[in-house]
Amino acid sequence: MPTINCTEFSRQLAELVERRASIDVAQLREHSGACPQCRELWLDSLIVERAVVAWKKPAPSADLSARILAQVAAGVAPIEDGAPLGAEAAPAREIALPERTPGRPTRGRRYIGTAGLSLAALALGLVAMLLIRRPLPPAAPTQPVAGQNSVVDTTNVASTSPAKRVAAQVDARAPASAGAPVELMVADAGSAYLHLAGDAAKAVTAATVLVPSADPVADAPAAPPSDDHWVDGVREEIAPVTHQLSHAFEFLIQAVPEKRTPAT
Amino acid sequence: MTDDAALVRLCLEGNEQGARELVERFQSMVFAVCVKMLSQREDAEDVTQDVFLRVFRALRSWDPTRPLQPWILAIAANRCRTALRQRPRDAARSSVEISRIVASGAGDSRELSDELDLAVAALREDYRLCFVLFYQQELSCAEIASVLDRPEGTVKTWLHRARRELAERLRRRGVVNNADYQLHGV
Repeated sequence: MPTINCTEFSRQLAELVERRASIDVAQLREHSGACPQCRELWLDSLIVERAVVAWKKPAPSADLSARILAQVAAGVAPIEDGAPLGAEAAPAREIALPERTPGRPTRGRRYIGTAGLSLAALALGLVAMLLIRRPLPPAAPTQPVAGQNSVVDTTNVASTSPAKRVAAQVDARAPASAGAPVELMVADAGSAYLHLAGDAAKAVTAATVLVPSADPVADAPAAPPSDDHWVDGVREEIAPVTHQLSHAFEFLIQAVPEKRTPAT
Repeated sequence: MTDDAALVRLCLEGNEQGARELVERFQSMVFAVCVKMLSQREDAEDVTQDVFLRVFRALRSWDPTRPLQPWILAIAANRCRTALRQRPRDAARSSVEISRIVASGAGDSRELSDELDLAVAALREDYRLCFVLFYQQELSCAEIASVLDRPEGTVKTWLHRARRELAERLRRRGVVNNADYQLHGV
């Protein structure tokens, strides 16, 4: 009949192994003989203890200390100078220094990076659109010759669609100098947009700083936030920028007239 | 002033003999941990040198009221973990596989120590470090907890799991049988 139960067996075994306490193992042996689960634990302990006794401790090379001292002398200059060995700035707490591994960015940074790239692509597209829409500068900045435009336009309009023909006729009736305010407006709009794009880039950079990063050293790092959370966070960060961009879009759409057929 | 504190003071004063004594006093301990953690002598020697370089650089931050050995071991443990992370994944895998092939080829003729080395190398990094510090450096669970900056209960759990995995592996390898062993010579 066993004299101890499983709880007491575990406690005594822990004392024996973890505290290296000298206790009477007769009770442990007796209980392990009657309890299969505890017997497993008992045998595991015995196997490891026996193996550890035979475990060899590796010896370093004979010249290792010389190499270490040479490297220390080279790496810590005060040894040669006679100054204190620890004179150079040492980390405040060597054992707690987290070491970051370069490589895959954190999830938040990936989202922010994607948002930044999207904004940059959008900006490039709009700038390109503005450049394409900008009319060619007039060949001669002088006053138009009466009748000349109508002759040219009539020839040109004859080979185009009715809608374009009407637009071309409207353009033809207008003096060449009338395009200048529109160009100025477009240029202003482009300049305003560029400022907005710059602000957007700054906002994205600021949002990147706010994003926390995971500690790669920690054994049990905190569970990474879900995708929805990050998407919401990024969305909130860029909401003002998006708002401004949409306003800029509306302004541009209203300000820039339909593409005109260049007069030849 | 403790012996450790006096030694560190000598080192901080730029005494070359003091530096030599510090290296000779602790190099075996550091090297043994590095070898068991990295399973390669060359890597272990490189990391040992790196450990002492950092020890000398950080000597001023050592608290003289605490023992020097766990502090150095903590630096060694960190350097080993860093070295393991920086080791190429393919190289690590092939190294383990080669070890397994060698082990299986040698069969039962391998010494128990070598078998234990192989089994320890297959352990999870935390378990391995815990096991090495407990059984080879003979640190207590509280000291290991201090070195690893983890709760003592966590250390005991890791140690328990390490023992179970090692025993299971040694049993599978046929190195040991379930004969009645004597624990601690009792």
